[in-house]
Amino acid sequence: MKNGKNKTLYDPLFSLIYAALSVIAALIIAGLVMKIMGYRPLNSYRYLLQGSFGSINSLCETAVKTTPLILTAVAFSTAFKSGMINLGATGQLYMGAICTTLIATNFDQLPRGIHITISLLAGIAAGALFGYLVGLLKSVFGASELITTIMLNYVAAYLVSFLVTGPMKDTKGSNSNPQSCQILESAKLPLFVPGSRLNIGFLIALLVIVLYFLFFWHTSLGYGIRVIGLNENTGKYAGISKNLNQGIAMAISGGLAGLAGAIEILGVQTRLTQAFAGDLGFEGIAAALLGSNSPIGILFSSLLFGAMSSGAGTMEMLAKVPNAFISVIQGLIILFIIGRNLPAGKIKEVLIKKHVIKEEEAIGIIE
Amino acid sequence: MKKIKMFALSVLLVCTGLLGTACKGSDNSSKTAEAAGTSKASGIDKKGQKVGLILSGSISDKSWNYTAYQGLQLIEKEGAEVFYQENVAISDCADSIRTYAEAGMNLIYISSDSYQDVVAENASNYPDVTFIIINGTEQGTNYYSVQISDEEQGFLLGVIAAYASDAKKAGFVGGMEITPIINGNKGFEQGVKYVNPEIEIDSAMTGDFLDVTAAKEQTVAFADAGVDVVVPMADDASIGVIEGAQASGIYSVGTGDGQKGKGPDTMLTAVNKDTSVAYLASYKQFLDGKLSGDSIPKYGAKEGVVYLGEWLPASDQILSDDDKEKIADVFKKLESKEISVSIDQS
Repeated sequence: MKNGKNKTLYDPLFSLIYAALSVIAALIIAGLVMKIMGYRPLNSYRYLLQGSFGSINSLCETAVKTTPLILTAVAFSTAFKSGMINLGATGQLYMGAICTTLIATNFDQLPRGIHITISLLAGIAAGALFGYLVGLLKSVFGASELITTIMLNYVAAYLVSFLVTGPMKDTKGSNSNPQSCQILESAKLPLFVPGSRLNIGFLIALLVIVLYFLFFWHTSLGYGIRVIGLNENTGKYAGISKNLNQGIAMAISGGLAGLAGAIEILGVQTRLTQAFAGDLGFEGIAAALLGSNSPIGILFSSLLFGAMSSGAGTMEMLAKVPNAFISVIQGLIILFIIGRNLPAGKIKEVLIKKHVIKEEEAIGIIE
Repeated sequence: MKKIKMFALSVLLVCTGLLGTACKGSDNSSKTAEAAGTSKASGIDKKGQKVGLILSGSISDKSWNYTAYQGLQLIEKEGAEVFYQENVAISDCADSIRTYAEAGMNLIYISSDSYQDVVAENASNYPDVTFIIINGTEQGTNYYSVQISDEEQGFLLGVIAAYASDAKKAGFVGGMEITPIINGNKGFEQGVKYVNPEIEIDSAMTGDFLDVTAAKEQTVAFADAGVDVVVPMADDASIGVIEGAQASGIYSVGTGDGQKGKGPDTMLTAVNKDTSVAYLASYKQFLDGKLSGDSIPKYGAKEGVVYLGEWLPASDQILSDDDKEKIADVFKKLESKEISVSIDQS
């Protein structure tokens, strides 16, 4: 796909402008829908902004919501660079969360720093293994990762459901909710701002973006993965193994999603519950697409989606607008991003094709 | 190099942006704090109260959240300004509480005991705000619990199911395995046994209040296993049970009158649970300053929260007038507390 046949399409500046226009257009259209339904769009957007940037607390909340999005977005992009479409971030996130919870609810003897580190590593390892499994299924059986990742999402989600209603269920709690025990104090991520939920997970996410940049643009392994993703045959010719590199990319991708799950558990949720991740995995894909898989793009688009989801509550609560509108806005943005090839590239292509057909027809008539 | 520069530049941009809004934000929040202060000074005024409601599901579920929303509307009629938020995840509840408290709410309803820990942890940060947890078990200086008698609803469902079962096998399909559903299930078992101790009971939890298909599949599986009356307790997903019963030709007893369209030939009646009564009653207690932390009130058949719906056409096929009379009699006994349903046994 990304063979640079139309250079302007992949120009960073063009990407940025296009993304910004998509967002603005989505906001305007959603605003019109709100207007039609009898809500006050400007008032709603004011609360949306207030809820995402209006106070220290809401800023922290935006950062908290941004953290897993950055990680799942980078996870998607990492796999994408190797030519794999990883739709399984949700499942990998759950697997990470399970293992993190197992470590974080046990081992009360461990000092804090070590406990946190091991818990995080457990999450990364579990996610990486679950991601690598997809790579393995593809290289050994040729199973399409589009199918296996989605199916494995269910496996992981149901595993969580099974665990929190059975073996890992908190039986000492004040209610009988299906949830695990609370993680131990020594495993909780340190907070930045007391009273908020902003933890060092956000820093880790920012660090991951930097590492993502360094890995793909400054290491030979990252380069190899990119080559495989851009053109398999060129890669093979250059002696780069497709299976190995895609496997590695999937493991890293899964590891990052697992890390997202680990940070969610250690910093935000403090216990494992059913379906706690919601649509994080797929929102990450949206963020990666909007940011066209570039480090800066991912940072900005994750911030945007994070801000929207943290502001959505306030918008719903105080402007009394259903927060489904946030899904409408996100959906519109994704539609615009997918339609990105249309304005410049595709339309031209379509026109040229028509033109060629006409000429052929004309020749046919003459003959 | 150029890329690194751009990266650094944009990081800088984000930071300045964040800082700018942060400064703006801080005086904003002090304003809301002032607003909250003034409203407190005026004491409990019947008009102009701000009431927030935090919901675990959507208000269109024709069940738990729907009647909660109706309760909120009743409160609005009393002159309060009302706000609500749907589908709040447990991990987001603290943030929702903060938003409502900072916006000057006087009273915040928490629709489910799933949020109880969060409320207990955060309530002391907002001493001006009163919290009421529906189905909670804990009380504190500014938070109170109000319980809904899910077990009485379950009991009545069980009684009807027992009278309607020829095969001596009744099924219960629950949503998530949380306190209200567990209590409902316990009530159901006691209700069935109250009529006929020999009837076999099959219970299953689908683990989901929204998954209509899972509830339907579970019902069909029950029917295949010989169950001939089934009852739902799964909020949104309950209609799946009614549909499944209709598809496999077994009887069902609904948990809301709104469900009857899904089972025109097989739904017998509904045992309704109208929590709005409890919302309104507790709001009035709040206004009168009568909320007390001494004991937790429980709203059931006596208070009009749990009541029997109309008999639907399908009921004539299986239930005699005598049966219906006996069922009505059981309801009266629940109303008068002659029958008490226990939730202690596991």
